Amino acid sequence: MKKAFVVVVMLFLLIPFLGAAAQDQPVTIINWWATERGRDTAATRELHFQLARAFEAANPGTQVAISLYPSRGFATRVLTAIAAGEGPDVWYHYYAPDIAAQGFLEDLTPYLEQSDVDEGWFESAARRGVYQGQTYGAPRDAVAGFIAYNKDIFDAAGLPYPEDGWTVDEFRQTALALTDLDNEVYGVGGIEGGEGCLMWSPFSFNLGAELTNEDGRTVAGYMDSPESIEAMRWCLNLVTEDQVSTPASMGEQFGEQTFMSGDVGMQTVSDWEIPALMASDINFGVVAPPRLDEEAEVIPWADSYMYYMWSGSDNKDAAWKLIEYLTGSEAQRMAAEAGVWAPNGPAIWEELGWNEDPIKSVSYNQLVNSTLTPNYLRSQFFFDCVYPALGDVRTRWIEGGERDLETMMADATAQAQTCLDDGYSALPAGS
Amino acid sequence: MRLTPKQVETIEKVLGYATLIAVAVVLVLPLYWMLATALKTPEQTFALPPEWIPNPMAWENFTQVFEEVPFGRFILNTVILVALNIIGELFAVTLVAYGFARLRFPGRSLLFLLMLSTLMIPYHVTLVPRFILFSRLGWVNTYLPLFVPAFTGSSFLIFMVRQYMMSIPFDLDEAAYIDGASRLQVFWHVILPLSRPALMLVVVFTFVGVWNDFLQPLIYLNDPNLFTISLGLSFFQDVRDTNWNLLMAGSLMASIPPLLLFFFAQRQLIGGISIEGLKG
Repeated sequence: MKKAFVVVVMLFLLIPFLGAAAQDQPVTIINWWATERGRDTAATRELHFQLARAFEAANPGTQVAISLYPSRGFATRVLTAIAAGEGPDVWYHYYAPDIAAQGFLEDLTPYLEQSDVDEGWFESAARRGVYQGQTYGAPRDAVAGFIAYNKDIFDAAGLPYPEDGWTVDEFRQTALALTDLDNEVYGVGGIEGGEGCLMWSPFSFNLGAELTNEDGRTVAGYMDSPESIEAMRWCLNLVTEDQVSTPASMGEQFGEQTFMSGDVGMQTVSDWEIPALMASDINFGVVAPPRLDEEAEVIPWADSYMYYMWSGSDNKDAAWKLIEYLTGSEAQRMAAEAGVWAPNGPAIWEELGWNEDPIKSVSYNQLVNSTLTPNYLRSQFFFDCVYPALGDVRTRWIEGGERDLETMMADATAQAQTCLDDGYSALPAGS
Repeated sequence: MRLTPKQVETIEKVLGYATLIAVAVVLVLPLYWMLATALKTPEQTFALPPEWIPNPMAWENFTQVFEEVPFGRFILNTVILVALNIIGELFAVTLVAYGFARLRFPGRSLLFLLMLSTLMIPYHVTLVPRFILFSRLGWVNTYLPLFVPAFTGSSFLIFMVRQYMMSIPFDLDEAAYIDGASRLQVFWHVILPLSRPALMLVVVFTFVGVWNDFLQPLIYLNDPNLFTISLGLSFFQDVRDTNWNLLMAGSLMASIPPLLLFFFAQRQLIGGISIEGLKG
């Protein structure tokens, strides 16, 4: 009895220490850096804080420190911090190949092998985080490219609205029929001709052209192929020979404001621009991108911001938990309901009925299809080598008035290939 | 027909004014475009033909700027940084410039050359080392990296003020020394008052530099509540989704303080530049 009393007393005496030990339980702090987009900044900011608080509630002992930066200069901010050894644990941004190649990104492949979160992602979205067979990014959202058209301009021209299954030639003929330069009405907006048209537009894969091979190291035989030359000619002609495109000063490739001017018949857009169009008084509809010809299928163009983990993070497991949460169904639903991002997988789209929405279903039908890896995500040297070479072609055609496209593309191919070869040969063996 | 000298003078005047008006229009046009866009709806922004006078005018753009981002906070933060930087630059620049301009000591030319050579180093080269330094000091996400360096003086401003101080006759110093003044008293009572136009340039250059600085606040600040005006305005810009109306409305409001400073300091400023140009 006496012994039992002593044990009980000792246990009571231990309670304060146990409490103190519980209070001293280490808290893991995850630094999550993000950018705000150009519009709806307040709503976007609020969503980030909601997501962080929801994650913390589900993961006691982990806190999320959010830093929201302007999109402009964000890459500089991240890379400076990484160079100083103080990078964020988690951040999101566009394309990864160059940063992945520098070893700054944690390979998420082992984490994904232990998780089923990626089973809910669109294949087209997941593909954007893969570089040389390894997954470095997880999709924050998923958008597809398609064509918005101004119903009033179509009605005034007496043209039927475009329908899924149309071809690039029908697109061009429609643009010609819509254009009325005397009244400053343009068939298409934001097609400046050239590199953007071939690389990140709904036309990218539907003009039958590939600029590089699969691993992005070779452009010879691709960029100067007859298909690529004709694709480039198609894009450039919209500007110069057909004169159906808005002046370059008005155009951004996905510039919804150009379309919202009411002077543009058709505009390439994505889900990122749809909220602005919905809020405007433009009477518009949307349609799938045109396909190459009657025999071809439409090849979707999709895009996503990607979550990355810094390879130097001290809290990789917790960082992965955050990425897993943010790319999972709960966070995706919150973002979709807030109207900030389109979900990265089909389940939430279907749950919210977006797959049957007259506008959003056009995008959904693109996203569920398989697509190709964009040329610019295939090589870390693409933007140093291929992009400027194509830019030279555009400049020579539009500003220089040259029309020998075969020679120009051959010049550009040689320039790009030399640059790629130099870039890869300078890498350590085995890279 | 031979023109009289008066007619020639009149024609010259007319041509001169016409040229000035044409140049003024070219210079004012971007400002007008900013004002017009600030008053447009998104639909009006890229309308063809352009709407020179927006109809209707979207005055709500100005209030929406404050709703979308804590714009008032950004202005206050920037004003604090501007004030601290001006104090720092005035303190350091005047003392160092005085030393280089009026004092004789071994190695003065070498030190001056060394200081000038720092002007040749691009800021981006020192970006990461500076970040590491301030990070080790625990200054990241504070205003310290954004104003403490001002207390070491800017090389360019030191050079400019030193050149100005060298144009002040040494007789004045000597007269003060004869009257029993110390070096610091000469600095405070003789050189500084006579250097006022150059100091006004220091104020204006520092004000505009800090007001417009985007890179340093971006690099050193994490907490949006500490952000400055240039960072705040960038929230309306995205790679593919720029909110031009709010960006222009915010930019218009952000350009008012530098404009006011210029108007108030105009006489001193032009005096400083002209004297600097003549004697520097």
